[in-house]
Amino acid sequence: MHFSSSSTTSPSSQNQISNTTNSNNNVLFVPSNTSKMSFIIPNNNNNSSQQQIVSSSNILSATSNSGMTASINLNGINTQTNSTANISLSSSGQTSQTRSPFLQRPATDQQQQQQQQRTTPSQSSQQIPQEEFMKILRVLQDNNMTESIETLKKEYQSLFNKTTSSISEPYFNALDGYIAYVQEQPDSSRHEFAQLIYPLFVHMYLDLVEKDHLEEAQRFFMTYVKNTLLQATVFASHKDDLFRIKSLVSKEQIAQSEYVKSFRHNGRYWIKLCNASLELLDQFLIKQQKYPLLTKIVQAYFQLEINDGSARNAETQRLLSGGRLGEIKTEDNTNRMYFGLLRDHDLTRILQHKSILASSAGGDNEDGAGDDQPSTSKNRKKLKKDFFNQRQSKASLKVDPNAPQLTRIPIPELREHERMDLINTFQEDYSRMLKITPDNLPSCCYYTLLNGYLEINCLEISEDSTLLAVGGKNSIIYVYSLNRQKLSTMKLPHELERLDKSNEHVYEQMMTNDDDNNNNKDDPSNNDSDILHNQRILCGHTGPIYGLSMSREKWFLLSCSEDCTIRLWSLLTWTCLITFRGHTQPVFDVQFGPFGHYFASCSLDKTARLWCIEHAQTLRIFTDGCNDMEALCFHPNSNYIATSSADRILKIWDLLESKEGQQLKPIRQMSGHKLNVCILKFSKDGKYLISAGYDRQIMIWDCSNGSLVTCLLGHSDAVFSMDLSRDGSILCTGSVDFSMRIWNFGQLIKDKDDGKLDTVQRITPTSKYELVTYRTKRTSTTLIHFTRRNLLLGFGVFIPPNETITTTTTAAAAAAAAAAAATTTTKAKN
Amino acid sequence: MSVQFSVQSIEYLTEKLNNGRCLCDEPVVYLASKISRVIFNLLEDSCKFVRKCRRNEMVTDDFAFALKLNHIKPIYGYTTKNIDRSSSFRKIKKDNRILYHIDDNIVALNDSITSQVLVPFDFSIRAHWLAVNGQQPITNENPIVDTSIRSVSQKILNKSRKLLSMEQQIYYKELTEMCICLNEKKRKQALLILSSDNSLQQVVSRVIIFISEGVRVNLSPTSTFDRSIILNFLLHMCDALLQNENIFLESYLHYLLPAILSCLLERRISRDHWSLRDLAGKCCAQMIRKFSTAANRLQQRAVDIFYRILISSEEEYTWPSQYGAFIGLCEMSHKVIIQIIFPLIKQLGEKVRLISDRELSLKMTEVIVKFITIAYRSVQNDNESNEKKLYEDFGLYFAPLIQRQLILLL
Repeated sequence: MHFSSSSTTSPSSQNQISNTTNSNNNVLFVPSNTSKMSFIIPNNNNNSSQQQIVSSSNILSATSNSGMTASINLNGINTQTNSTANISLSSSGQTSQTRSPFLQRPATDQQQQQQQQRTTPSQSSQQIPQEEFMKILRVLQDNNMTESIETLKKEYQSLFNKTTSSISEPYFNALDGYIAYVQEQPDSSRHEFAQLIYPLFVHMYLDLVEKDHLEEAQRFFMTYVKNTLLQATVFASHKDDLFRIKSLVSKEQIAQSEYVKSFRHNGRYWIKLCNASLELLDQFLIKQQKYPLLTKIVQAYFQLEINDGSARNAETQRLLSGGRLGEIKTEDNTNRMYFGLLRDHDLTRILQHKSILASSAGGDNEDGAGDDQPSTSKNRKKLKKDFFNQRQSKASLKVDPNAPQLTRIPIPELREHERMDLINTFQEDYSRMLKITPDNLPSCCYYTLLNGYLEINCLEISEDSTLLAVGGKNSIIYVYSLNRQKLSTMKLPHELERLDKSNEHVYEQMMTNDDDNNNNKDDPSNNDSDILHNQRILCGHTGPIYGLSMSREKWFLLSCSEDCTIRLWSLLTWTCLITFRGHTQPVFDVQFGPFGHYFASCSLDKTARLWCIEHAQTLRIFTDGCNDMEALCFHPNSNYIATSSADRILKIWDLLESKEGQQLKPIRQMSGHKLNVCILKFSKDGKYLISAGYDRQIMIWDCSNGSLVTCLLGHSDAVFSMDLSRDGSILCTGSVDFSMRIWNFGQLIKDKDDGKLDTVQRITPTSKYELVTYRTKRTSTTLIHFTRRNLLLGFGVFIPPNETITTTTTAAAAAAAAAAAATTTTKAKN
Repeated sequence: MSVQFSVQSIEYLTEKLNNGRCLCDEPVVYLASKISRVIFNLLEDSCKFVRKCRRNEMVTDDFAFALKLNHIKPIYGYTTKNIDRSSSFRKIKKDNRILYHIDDNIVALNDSITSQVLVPFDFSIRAHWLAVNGQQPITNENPIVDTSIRSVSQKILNKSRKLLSMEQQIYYKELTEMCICLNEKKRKQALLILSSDNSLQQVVSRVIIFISEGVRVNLSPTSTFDRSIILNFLLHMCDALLQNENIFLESYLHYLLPAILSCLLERRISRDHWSLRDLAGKCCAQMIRKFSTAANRLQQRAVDIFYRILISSEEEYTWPSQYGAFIGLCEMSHKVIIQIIFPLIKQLGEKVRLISDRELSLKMTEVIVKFITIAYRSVQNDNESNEKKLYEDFGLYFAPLIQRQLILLL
């Protein structure tokens, strides 16, 4: 049975070498174990097979088993000869012609004849002196002159200091052997074993390069990367890294490469296997010791995690692969995360408060006159009482057990005007909020920024959808008013002093009130579609702006830039208030916390930092090994931030201070994206994290345990922007393929809770939850925003048709031509 | 690595810097691979910036920032914004200090107006409705709706509007065949339909294409035999269409007007070309009267064309063309005749007098006299013909003829 199955697989694998190794397996196992079951079964049988090998080849059984501590290289080659010997045995059994093309084979043949000799046949025999050398060797071997053989070899190698081709042979054999082994596995668990191929391949390649066998290494690389079978399965989720690996061609480069650093030294490659697979693997790698090279790599760089039960299905595993260091340790995601919302900052609560205020005021009126003092005290008492009641009712309302304590991360009290603003919004907008359902799809107002291609880097809109900030490549921030309100500044200090601070309109009074006539004069002259008449420019940065964030009350704007600084701007005085210095490399993203006060930034210096607008110093630094941080997002309860880094793993960090001296570790890590992540968002209830990026996948993660909920597919290009509707039921994503897609997020979560979600596939094609696609004309949406009434706003920079590109390419071509000309002239000179 | 900096270029540089002595092979090869690696790293870094800026193409600035990231001084002056590189960046070196500055040329206002110099535009924001209640309205800003399920029905609708029904196709076929058949009675009937039927709108675009293509084919110099008769028929169709008040022709003017003008100003002489030109002139004038607005400047543009032809020398435009231009101008209105033609008559008289071809000379004289007299009469209402003034205005050749004509009309 086994025989037939392997013989069917061997033709399917197109590799010549894997063919031979397959047959090798046959020869090895068929005599000792008669059935296929021998793989799964017990050690003693296997041991016998081991002995079988040893006895058949009669080579250093002791060293190959216990010699892991000895020089591994030697060891590897030794057993290699062992296996090649077997190959030749088998091939000689089948066809004698296969031997002749390879001059190397005879060498091993001789070894078989001279089995007492410990030789490492590592000469490529393409040169004539080598043949001579072989002849001498043979004579020496015939005469049992071990020492002279050794010295001769040394001499020879010092004389012809050429790379020995067969140095890569063990690598080829080992990987081929493993791939063949994987192919033999049943369909249901094959993917489990296939997980190891990619990291093995990378480590082997790096090993080869480090041993200065560049050509061999490249041959090694090309052989496997060109293999279509592997391309489709194993390498598909690591394309980005493969390119990077290929470019490493010398020892120094490997030493310097950040990629290798994060791959090799940052931890071990984490692989999750089911119990049965692990046992099998254990037998293959440790007990059988057929390829000590594999064993060595696995022992040095891998960490295998057993998950109970049966094997995961292939699709799930494929979705979760893609992180630079494999998957995430389950243990890492077990710490408790308080993802619930803060009740006291919740809107409903504020509203209740307001209604209490209103009712008490009403009560006062009913009481009629009477001196002020007692009535207010009564008021207060009443309020207090209500407060109690409310707290009780809240308790009965079921307190969210997942919510963090209010004091966990201290948050400043809302200012009165903010509170009023919130109440107003709630009353005016939230009550009139459009309910988006499949039958009632959202309308979308689209703002196209013209003439800004290659000039505009980032966009940001205020929470109430009235201000638009545009960060340019020319280090200037433009602020536009989207409604027709004037962008006025604050009055001068001496004027401010004169204001009555107790006046409830003080916030309006402190702004300069431009003449009404002026406004009137302006208005008719402007076309209705022209928004530009109201613009402010903020200058201060010395490099392109990469990120902007506006505080909720529209008082502050944060910007981060290539010049490694973050600036806080006042939108009342239109000046820069503070420059936050701390990052040592360009800052890529900055975001205000949901309640203001705190903000976080992330940078190319591989850190994310937490700041507070009242201090110029950093509050927390979250470091991430060797990976650039590229995007971040605040949790709605202000206790956590999520970041995405260059190793394509999403991380959630706790803002609460950890123990002294200990490096802050992310509380959740999630691997699954195959390319860089561009945007992260928490769902409105804080329970889910949604991420999307260059790999076109929109992935939804459960924060409670870091598991993948589902993956939405549909976009045909990178996803750059997303937003959730105000009620949290609709997800909208914008992409470079000039489209915006609207997804029924609420339905998805409901299905998930009901257990109706297809957990086997975990992948959701467009049709199931996608409501509609809106297409734009050559504008890739870089900002999506739902207004308070759930109107969808899209923002994008118009990309002009290819004219400019062609000119630049022609210029480049001209430059290239010039360079070519230069080289030719130098040639002529020479 | 497959792509590498050529060893030659490294050799060249070292040679240049090392006073003509070249390094030996090993360091050069090392340098080449090292530099390739450095460039690779820099490009990788600049990719980060490209990604962050949500772009798909890399610009030189990205590379400059990558250099900066690696603590290398970026190269100034190579931004993609500068279109002509020659006048972009200058270096001033003084006392070991280097200053770079942009060469800010003074641009003449005229150049910028006539768009010889590209003025970079400022940002602007346009808002439009991408979707209303889940439907993407069909506007200029929105792309042509594609194959998503929702839009399929709309697409069918759109198509069906453009497609003609079988009846309409037959109608179109019969109509056009009748219009160019030789049977006088049938043709009259068809022209009557063209000038009165208000259901024509569906097929009018086809009819117009039929006319314009017909004119193009029959006027082409390759057509061997004389087809002025077909042209004549086609122009009659034009005429009839223009008379039809119920159909909307404005969006097809760009087909119709060139066809008519080419009939009018045709260089070649065919058998019955005078009457063809007369008819074309009439059509042209009618069209201009009907559709000319201040916005499209139709009349002004037509006048410009005719006037240019009329005042040019004989070598450039043949007499028949000039005849056509004259007719075209004269048919427009009396005002045009008075303002544009009157000053030209004297000069024309001199030219016409020199025409050797008798038939041509006669025709020209006849038509000029005809139009001028009518116009002149409308101006000079009083019967007393000021002989002296007439001679002064129209020159020796035309004045007596016009005078005689005036008397005849009386």
